[in-house]
Amino acid sequence: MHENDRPILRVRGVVKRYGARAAVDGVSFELWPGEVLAVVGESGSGKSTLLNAVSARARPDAGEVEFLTRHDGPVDVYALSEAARRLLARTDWGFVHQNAAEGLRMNVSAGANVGERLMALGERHYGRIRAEAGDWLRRVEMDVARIDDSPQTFSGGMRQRLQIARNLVTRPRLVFMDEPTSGLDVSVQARLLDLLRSLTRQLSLAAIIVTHDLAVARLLAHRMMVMKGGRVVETGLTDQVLDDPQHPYTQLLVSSVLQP
Amino acid sequence: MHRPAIRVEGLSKTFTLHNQGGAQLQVLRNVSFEVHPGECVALDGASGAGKSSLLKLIHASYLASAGSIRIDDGSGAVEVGTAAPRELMRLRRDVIGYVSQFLRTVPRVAALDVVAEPLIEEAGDSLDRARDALQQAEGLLRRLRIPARLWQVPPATFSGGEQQRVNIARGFIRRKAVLLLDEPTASLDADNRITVTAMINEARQEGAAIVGIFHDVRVREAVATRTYDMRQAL
Repeated sequence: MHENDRPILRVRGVVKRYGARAAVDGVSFELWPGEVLAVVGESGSGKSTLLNAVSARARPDAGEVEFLTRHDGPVDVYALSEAARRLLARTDWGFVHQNAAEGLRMNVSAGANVGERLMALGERHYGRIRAEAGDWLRRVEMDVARIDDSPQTFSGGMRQRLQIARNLVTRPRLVFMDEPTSGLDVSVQARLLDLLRSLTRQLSLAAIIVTHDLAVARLLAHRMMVMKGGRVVETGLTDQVLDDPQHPYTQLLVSSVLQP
Repeated sequence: MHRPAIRVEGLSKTFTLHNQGGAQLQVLRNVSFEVHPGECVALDGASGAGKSSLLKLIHASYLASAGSIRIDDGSGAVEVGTAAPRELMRLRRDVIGYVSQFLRTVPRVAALDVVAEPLIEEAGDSLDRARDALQQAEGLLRRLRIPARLWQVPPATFSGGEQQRVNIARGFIRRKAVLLLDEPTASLDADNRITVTAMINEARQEGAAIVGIFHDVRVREAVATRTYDMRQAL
């Protein structure tokens, strides 16, 4: 069977509790190679908790998360050893944080930030690492002359682009993004969205993007999942959910924004 | 050989407005028709008769309330209402083309790339095919009289007519077995109207099954092989 004929991620009945409250309450979905899924909802809907649970960052209280590995078929990510899980997260996965400082190492250079993930894959040749890092800075439209500068000297938009380069340098097949464009100026947002859109397509990345911004979902995602109170209330093709929302909550969300 | 490309049976659509006391808005009732390859059906009816809704239902942008929509994907009929999102994405990529009046622009993407994108996606890693896609996009933009100096400019700042032509070029760059056209000539001048009319007829002669809304009587008469009267639908 060809790799693209199976879901890259299969999530079944995931529950995550904080005390007595279920922040995520029985969520199941599949993600296919090359597919971009937006998870939308207001703050407190459980969307970020879900992202952490499916990206192996916070073990769920119930349910399964199965990832289709390159060589060993589907594996339950929480059944892997800590070391194996970390390797997966540093190579075949990417995680783009809303706040770039959380996804970067702020005390080393831009080039080292990108090169670090290559070294995790065993690359030791300094010249090759530097060349690859420079190449990725170009791909995210950064000035390569800044390769030795610390991200502390970068603007918010530049930091976010650097974080994306750091994540994509290992050619991951699945990228998780938590509100990747919020907190940026609108003009910077547009540029970043366009960059994300072209990169996900060029690299056939599967991605899960958590966002409260329906316009971001419209632009980037093939499919959408609407969350409320820890549950999925509606799911479907992006234009279908936005143009013909079925659930009262989705209708409220869609009618509350200006032309998503 | 003569299977319909589109088969609509008993299709109804009612919007339920939950945030307005659950008001029900029926836009289509019991629509049935078939479109065969090489046919162009013009939807006829006043504004508000549900013409655009019907196209959106066939495109799966709207969900049917009742009835069936089947699209022939070359190997069999796919039921749009029950197909998985992934299947619908494949249908849209390979089988169904949809051209609306309005271009949904993406910030910073040049007109040429907007047009070439459906072919570029298909090209994968092949540089030759990507180059070929850009050449075909140039050809279409030239045919639709978009000046070459605009090709590298994002269409957000274009006039309505220019945006519509970019949209048409994008919609026609890949041969599709099913074409849904929502007022494709609404804001075009005479020369471009004639060009678009010719493009629609060429697609039909190559075997596309077309459903369209054509307000302009001259265009409708030039492209439609028959008319579907929307008054039957409500």
